[in-house]
Amino acid sequence: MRQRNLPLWTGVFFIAIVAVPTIISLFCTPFDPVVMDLDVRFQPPSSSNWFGTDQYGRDLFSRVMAGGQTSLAISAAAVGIGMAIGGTLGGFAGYYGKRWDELLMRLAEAFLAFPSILLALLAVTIVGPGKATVLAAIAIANIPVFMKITRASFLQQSKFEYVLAAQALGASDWRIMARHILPNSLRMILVQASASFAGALLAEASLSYLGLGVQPPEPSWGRMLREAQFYGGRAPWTVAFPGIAIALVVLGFNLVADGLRIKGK
Amino acid sequence: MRYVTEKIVSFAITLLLVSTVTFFGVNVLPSDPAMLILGTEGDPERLESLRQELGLDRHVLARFVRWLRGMLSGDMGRSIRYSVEIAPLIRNALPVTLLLAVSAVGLALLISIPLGIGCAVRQGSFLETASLLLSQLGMALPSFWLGLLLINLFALRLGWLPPAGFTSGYSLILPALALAVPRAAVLTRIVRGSMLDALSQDYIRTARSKGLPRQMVLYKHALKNAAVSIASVAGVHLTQLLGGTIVIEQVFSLPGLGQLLLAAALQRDLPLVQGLVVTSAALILLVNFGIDLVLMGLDPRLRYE
Amino acid sequence: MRSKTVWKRVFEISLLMLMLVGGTILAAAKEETINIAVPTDPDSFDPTRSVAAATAEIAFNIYEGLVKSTPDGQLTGALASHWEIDSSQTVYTFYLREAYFHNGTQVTADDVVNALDRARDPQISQRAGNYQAIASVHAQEGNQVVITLKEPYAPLLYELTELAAAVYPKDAAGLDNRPIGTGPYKLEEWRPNQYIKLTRFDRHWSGQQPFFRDVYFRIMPDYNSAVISLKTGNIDLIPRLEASFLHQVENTPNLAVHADPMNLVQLLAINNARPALSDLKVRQAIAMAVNRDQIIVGAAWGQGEKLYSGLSPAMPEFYNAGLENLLPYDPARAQALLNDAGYANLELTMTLPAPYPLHVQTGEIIADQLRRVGVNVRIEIVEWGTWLEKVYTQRDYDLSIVGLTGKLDPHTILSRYVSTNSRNFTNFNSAEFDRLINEGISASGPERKSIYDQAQEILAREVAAVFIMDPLQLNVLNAEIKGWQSYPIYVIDAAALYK
Repeated sequence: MRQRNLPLWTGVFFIAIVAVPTIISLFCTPFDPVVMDLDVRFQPPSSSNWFGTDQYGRDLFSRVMAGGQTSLAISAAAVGIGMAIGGTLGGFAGYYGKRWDELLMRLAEAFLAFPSILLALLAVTIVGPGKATVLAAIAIANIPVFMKITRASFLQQSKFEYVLAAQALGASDWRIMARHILPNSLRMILVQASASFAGALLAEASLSYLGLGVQPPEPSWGRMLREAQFYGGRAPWTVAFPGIAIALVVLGFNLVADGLRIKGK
Repeated sequence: MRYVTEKIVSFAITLLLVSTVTFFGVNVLPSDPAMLILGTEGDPERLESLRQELGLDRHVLARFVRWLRGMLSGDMGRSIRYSVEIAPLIRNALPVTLLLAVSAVGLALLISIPLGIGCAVRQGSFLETASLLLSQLGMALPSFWLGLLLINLFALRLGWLPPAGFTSGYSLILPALALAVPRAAVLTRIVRGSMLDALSQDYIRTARSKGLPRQMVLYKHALKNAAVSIASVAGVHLTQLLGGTIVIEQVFSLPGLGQLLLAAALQRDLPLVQGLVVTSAALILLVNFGIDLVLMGLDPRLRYE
Repeated sequence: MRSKTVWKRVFEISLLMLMLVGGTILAAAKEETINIAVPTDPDSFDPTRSVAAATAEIAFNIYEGLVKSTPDGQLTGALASHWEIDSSQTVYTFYLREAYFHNGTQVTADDVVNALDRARDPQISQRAGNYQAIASVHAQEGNQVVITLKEPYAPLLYELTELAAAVYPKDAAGLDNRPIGTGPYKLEEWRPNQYIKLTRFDRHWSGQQPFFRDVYFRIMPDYNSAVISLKTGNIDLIPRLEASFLHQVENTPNLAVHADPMNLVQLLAINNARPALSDLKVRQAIAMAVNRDQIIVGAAWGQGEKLYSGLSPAMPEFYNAGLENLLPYDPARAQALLNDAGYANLELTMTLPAPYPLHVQTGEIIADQLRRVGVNVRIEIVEWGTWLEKVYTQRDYDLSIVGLTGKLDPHTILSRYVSTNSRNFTNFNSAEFDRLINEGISASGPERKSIYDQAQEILAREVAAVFIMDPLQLNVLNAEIKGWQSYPIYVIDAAALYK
C-alpha cells in the first residue's frame, strides 16, 4: 500500500517545499521583495540573503517566495477556470450525447489543434501583455482538455446500471450528474488538473520569458528568469533559484498526477 | 474516399472559422498600426492620412471581405511592418520552423523508443529507475531554460555548435535538442507503457510459448502493436510544435514563423498576424490529417470506424 | 510484411532528417564579410516613407543626400561638392559632383530636384514637416541645384543630411525594398527577420572602396544570443548594446568596447497640463527629488552622462553646460516646496514603455526616489503602441520616461517644446521660450548659440521635463575589426570598418 503511494506523497512533499514559503510570504518576507538597494547588488548567497541578491540588490529569497504567489495563483486560476468551463461543457456532452456531443467535441478538437502559445500571442495582439492575458490564454487552452476528459468519463458512467436505475426512479438529470456521476469521475478530472497545473506553470514561465506576462516590479518566477538570463554569467544564483522553484512544483504536480492515476487503477 | 471528402470539408470549415475569429479578434483593437509607424518623431497630424493609406479608415466588415477575397485568390496582402508581400515572408520562415519541429520530434523518437523499450523489457532494473527519474526531470524543466543551458555549454564553453541564428543545418541541432528533451521524456513513458501493455497480451505470450526468439517477438509483434499509440502521441507533439517553437526560436534567434509572429504581434502588423495564424492553423490541420492517414496505415481496424 | 515496410520508412525518414540536420554547411568567405547584429528589421527603404531609426542606421550606407554628417557632427559635402549661401540667407546653391547611382546611371540635378520636391510634399513624405521652409527647388545650368527658402532657416543643411532628403533616380519605383542610392554600399538582399545583405558599390564618387565586400546586418532580437554569437565569432559587431550586458563583454581579450555618447536625451516627461503638475513649485520639487547619479548606476550600469538640458552634450556647440546648479538634487527642499504648494501627499501615475528596459528601470528607480519625498507614484507599464497613443498622442498621463533621439541641429530637438507644436507631448507652455525658438531659426553664429542657451535654461528652470541622462552607446566589436566611427546621429558607418 505504502509503495503505491510513493509518487503521490513525494509529489506533495515537493509542492510543499515551495508552497509553504509562498503562503508565508502572504504575511511576511525576510526583506521587501520590491524595494531596491543598489549598494548590495549581486551578493552571492549568504546567511542574511539565503539566495543572494539580484541586479537591484533585492533579496532573491524574498522574491522567489513572493514570486510564487503570482506564478501559483495564475496557474491555479487558469486551471480552475478551464476545469469549471471545460468540465461543465464536457459533462453535458457526455451525459446527453447526440448533437450536443457532436458540436462540442468538434469545437474542442479545433481548439486542441491550436497551440496555447499561439492563443496567447493572439490575446497579446488584442489586449496587450499582462497578467490577465496570460491567465486567460492558459485557461482557454485548458477548456478543451477538461472537456474531453469529463465527457469520456460521463459517457462511460451514464451507461452504468446505477445511473439507469436512478433515472428510472425519476431522479432529475442534475441530481444524477451532481450526486452520482461527478463523484465517480472526480479522480480522472483531478489527475488532469494536476497535470494541467504543471503545464500552466511552464506556460506562465515561457510567456513571461517572452515579456508577454507579468510586468515588473511584481515578481513572478518566469519574469525573474527573463531578467536574470542577462546576468547568468555573473550571478548564476539569479537564474538557478527561480528555475529550481518552477522545476520542483512541476515535478511535484506531475508526480501527484501519476500517484492519483496509480491509485485509480 | 468518403472519409477524405468529409475531411476536406471539415478542413475548409475549420479554416474559415479560424480566419474569421482571427480577423475580428485582431481588428477590434484600441490602438492601431499607423501610430506605431509614426513613433515619437512622427507628426500626430500625419496620423489620419496614414490610416487612410493603410486602408484602416474603412469599415471592419469591408476590410474583412476584401481580406478574405484576397486570401482565396492566394493574395495575403502586404505587411505593414516590412512593406513587402506577406506570402514570401511566410515562405522564407516556414522551412525553419518545419525543419525544427520535425527534427525535434524525430530526435525525441530516437531517444525515447530505445529507452522506452529498454525500460519495458528490463522492469525494475537500474535503467528503468534512472530513465523514469530523468524523464520526470525532463518534463519539469522549462525548455527555454534548457536552451540557455545548452548554448552555454555547447556553444560558449565547448565551441562545438553555433549559438544562434540560422546559417547552416548545424544551427538547428541545439534548438531541436532543447525542444526534444521534454518531449522525449513524455514519449519514453508512452513507449514503456504501451510496450508493457503489448507484452502482457495473450498473443505475445502465445508467440513466446511457441518458442519464437525473444528479439523477434519484441520487435515484430509488440513494437508493431505499440506503434499506433507512439505515432499518435508523436503526431500530437508535432502539431503542438508547429505553433509552439516561438520561445526556442527567440532563445536561438531563429528566423522561423514564431519569431515573425512575435514581431508582428508586438508591432500590431495586423495583416501579417492574420496571415501567420491562418497559415499555422492550416499547417496543423494538414499534419493532423496526415497523421490520421499514417495511423490508418498502421492499424487497419481504424479504417472501418 | 506491412509492418516491415512501415518501419523501413520510419528509418529512412529519420536518416534523411539527420542528414538535413547535420548536412548543409555554407562556408562563407570569412575574409571579406562582416556580420553586424541589429535587433529589428528596417521599416522601409523608401526615403519618403521610412521613420524608424533602425532603417536610418543601415540606409546611411546606401543613400546619400546633398550633404552628410561627419563623425564629429559637422557638415561635409556628399553629392554636392560644395555650396553657396547668399547674403539674404534664403538662396542655397549646390554644385553637384560626378556621381553614379547603384543602377549605373549618373546623378543629375533633376534627380535631386525630384527627390527634394517629393520630400517636402505632405501628400507623399512622412517627414514633409521638416522641409516646409523651402519655397522652391530647381535645377540650374552646370549641374547646380538651387534651393530657395521662404525665410532664413538655419537648420536647413542639417535637415538635408537626413534619410528623408536622400537622392534616388527620378524614375525609381519600389524603393521600399529595392533602394537605389549612391552610397558606398548597395542592397543585395533583404530577408525580413533574417538579414540585410549589402555589397560594395564599385563606382562610388569618392573613388574609395570599403574594405568589406559584404556586410550582413543580422536580425537578432535577443541580445543574449547576439552577445554569445559575438564571443564565438559568428558576429563581429553589436552596435548599441544594452548596458545590462556590459559585464558579459568587459575584459574579454578578443572584444573591444567603444563607449560613446548616444545623443539621446532621456527624460522624465511631466504633463505640464495636469492640475497639480501645472504648479511650477511641484515640477521643481520633482526635479529636485531626482537623483541622477543613482539612476545612472542603477539603470545604466554607470554608462551614461548626466543631463540638465534638453540637448545632449554630444552637441558641444549648442549644449548649455551651466544648468547643473539650477535645481540640484535636494530631497529636503523638494519636500518643502511640495508642502509650500499644498501637495504634501501627491498621488501620480507613471506610464512606462515596456519594450525599453532602460526607461522602465529608470522609472522604477525614480518612483522609489519620489516616494521618499512624499509623492506616491503608481507604475503602469504599457506596450509601445499603447504608450504612443496614451502619452505621445493623447497626452493623457502624469509622468513618463522616454528617450528622444538626437538630431544635428538644436532647432529640430528644441522646437518640440513650443506650446503649439504637435509633438509637444509635455504640454509645456512658455511664451518666452516660443519667442526664442522662433528667433533661433534665422539667427546664426554666436547670436544663435546665446538664443539656444537661454531657451535651454527656460526648459530646465520651468521644468518642461526632468532631463536625466544621455546613455552611452556601447558598441562592441571583435578586436580584429578597426575603424569604428561614432556619430552623434543614429548610423553605422560600415564603409569605415576594416580588418
